[in-house]
Order: sequence, then C-alpha cells, then structure tokens
Amino acid sequence: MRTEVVALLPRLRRFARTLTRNAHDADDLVQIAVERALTRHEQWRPGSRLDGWLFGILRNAWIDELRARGRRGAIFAPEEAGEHVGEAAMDTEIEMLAVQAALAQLPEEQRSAVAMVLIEGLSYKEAAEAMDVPIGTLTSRLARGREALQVILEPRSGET
Amino acid sequence: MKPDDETLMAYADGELDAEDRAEVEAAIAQDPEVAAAVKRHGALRDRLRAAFDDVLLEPVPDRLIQAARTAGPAGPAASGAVSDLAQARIAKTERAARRWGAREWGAMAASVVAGILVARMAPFGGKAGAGLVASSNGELVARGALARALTEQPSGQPGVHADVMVTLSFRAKNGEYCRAFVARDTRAFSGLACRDEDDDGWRLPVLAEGGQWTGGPNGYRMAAAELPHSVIATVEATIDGEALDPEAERQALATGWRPQ
Repeated sequence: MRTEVVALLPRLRRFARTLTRNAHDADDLVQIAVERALTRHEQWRPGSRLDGWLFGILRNAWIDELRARGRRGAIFAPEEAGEHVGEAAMDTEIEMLAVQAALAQLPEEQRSAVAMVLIEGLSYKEAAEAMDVPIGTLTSRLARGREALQVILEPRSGET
Repeated sequence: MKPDDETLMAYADGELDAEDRAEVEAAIAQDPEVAAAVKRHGALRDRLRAAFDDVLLEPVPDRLIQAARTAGPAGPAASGAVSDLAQARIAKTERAARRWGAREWGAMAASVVAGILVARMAPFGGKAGAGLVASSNGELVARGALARALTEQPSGQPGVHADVMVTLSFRAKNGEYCRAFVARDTRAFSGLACRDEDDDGWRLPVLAEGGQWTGGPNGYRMAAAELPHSVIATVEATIDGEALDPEAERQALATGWRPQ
C-alpha cells in the first residue's frame, strides 16, 4: 500500500488545497491523513478505491481541525491567495485565483463534494462513501455547490 | 420533456445509464437551452480543474514521502507522526532543525536518493504542453518525444529519440503494458509510463527526479541505466511476473502496445 500512497501524494495535496488554501496547512493535512491511513490500513476495503478512502480520512482531519480552531478561538492561518499575484500576473493566473477564491467561499460540505467529484473525478457513490453520507445528500451538496459557483463566477464566464 | 437540472448534472458527470443518457442527448439536440446548461456544467468542471491542476506539478515535500514510507503501526511515534495541525507545525520545526546536518550529507547522495518529484513544469522544459510531460484530467501524461519514444523505441537503446531511454517493458498486474524510462530535459528525470488504451497515450503514475544512463551513441545494445528507487519500487509493486524479453517486446511494439 505504501507505494500506492506515495503515488497518490500529488492528488492528496491537490485535494487538501481545495479544502484549505494555506499550502502549509494543506501539506500538514496530507501528512496526517497518510499517517492515519497507514496506521489503520486494515480498515481499507480491498476493491474500493484507495484514493477515495484517503480523501475521506483527509477530510475528517480537516473537520477535526476546523472544530479545534473553533475551540481555540478561530486563529486561522493566513491564506496565501495573494502570494502569486505579481506585476507579471497573467490572465490565467487571475482566473485560477478567482476560481480558487470562489470555491473557498462554499461551506465545507459543498466544497468537499465539488472537489471530490469535479476535480478528483470520484463517482457519486465513491464520493458519498468517502464523506460517509447517502448518495442523495452528496448529490444535493454537489448541486448547491455548483449553483453557488456558477453565481460567483458567472460574470467572468463571457471572458474565458 | 425537459430533463431537470439534477439529471443534467448527472449527465455531465457521467452518472446516467444508457437510457437516461439517450434521453438527455435527445433533449440537447432539440433544446439549445438544455445544451447550454450541459455546456455550463462542463465548463465549470474545466475551470475548477485548471485552477488546481498546478498542485500536481509541484515537487512533493520530502516529509510527505517519508510519512508514506515509514508511518504505520510499527511506530508512528518514531516516525514523527502528528495528529493535528498545531502538533504538525511543532514537529516540522523540530525536524527542520534536526535536518541541517543531514542536508549537506544528503546533497552528496542526491543522485542515489532522488525523491519523487512529480514535477514543476520548469524542469520539464517550460510551459505545460511544450515539454515532455503534461497534465491531463488530473493525471500526468507523456508528450512529445517522450510519448513517441515510449511507443516506438526498444528498451536499452538510447538514440531514436536521443533524450529518452526506455529501460524495460513489462505487463502490469492489471494487464496494461508499462515501461520504465529515463529522460533528459533541462534535468534528468525518470518514471514509469503505462499505456492508456483509451487514447493511445502514456500515463505517468510515477515521476522522479534523477536517473541516468551510460552507454554510447546509437548502436550500443543494452546501455546501463540507473533508476531512482521510487521508480523501481513502483515497478516491483505493479509488475506481473518478469520484464518482457526482447522478442515479447518486439511483438508489443509491433502491435501498438495493445493488451492481447
């Protein structure tokens, strides 16, 4: 399993980055998820997708973190959204940042549904399993997330 | 009848069975509004992927590769396991402090321990699409001379595409053909490529910095190559039996790497 997990690291990092835009937090989440997964590897059901299982663990780690921050008084690590905007920022970069910012506005549940299905390519069933919810819940989160994104991003769609 | 939006989303996500799909396609053909809605769903997906795909091309931090290789029931404490972000930050600071001595040492051994890179585009020759590696649908795929070499070039013979040497070919456990290679761009990198039947391309499940080959100009049979051990580990994990012998490889080359 280790080899497969190593091969999945780039995608785990991408998924974590959809949950938090702080790159350090995202990598910390990946590390936590990898360590938890390898510690409880016997809980993975052979035949199911390893990536979906890891995404679920990673997301749970993020939910734990959000709760802990709530208890600690919400000291959020700074977002790095502006980091890449330099004088030479190009249209594509602005577009990327706009989409990232739009996704960051969604509630966590919708954000995870959108990230798992639209970015990571899980099926509805796999994403529902990873989030531990019925398929109907997953599809309604996905639908609401999509609608919200369309509304936020619509004004730009004519330009792209 | 006009399909509802949930059905259109499911269609855009490839979740409908053949019958429902046919209905939606009929509606798309008749109703420009339906067609536009489906197109919007597809466009949103493309924009989301484009906004995050660059993460796939960043080098993976060492500590994550280490975590994947060493964490587990055997001793999470020893490997520096963390259970929340606050703890992770502390552990990271400590590790960074400890690692300084090891770093110079590491530089000497860099060619041996080259880690998984899954690369920034820069080492692969500039912008996405221009180089040998590109990202497509969330996966890395071979492009240009690398793709051609993987399709056309026998193992152990640098030369046809001068900057690529394929080191071995094998059948993976899932039946696909895969080939390990070393390539030179602005820097050397190595990886494993597996044949994607759907589009005659090569997926790159593993890509690592480093790797080299020796062996001379065209005609030198079986030049020697060194692969980073992350590539070797993946070969060992996925190979079904032995590597292809030259005859089996010739056949695979001749038949376009289609599983028989």
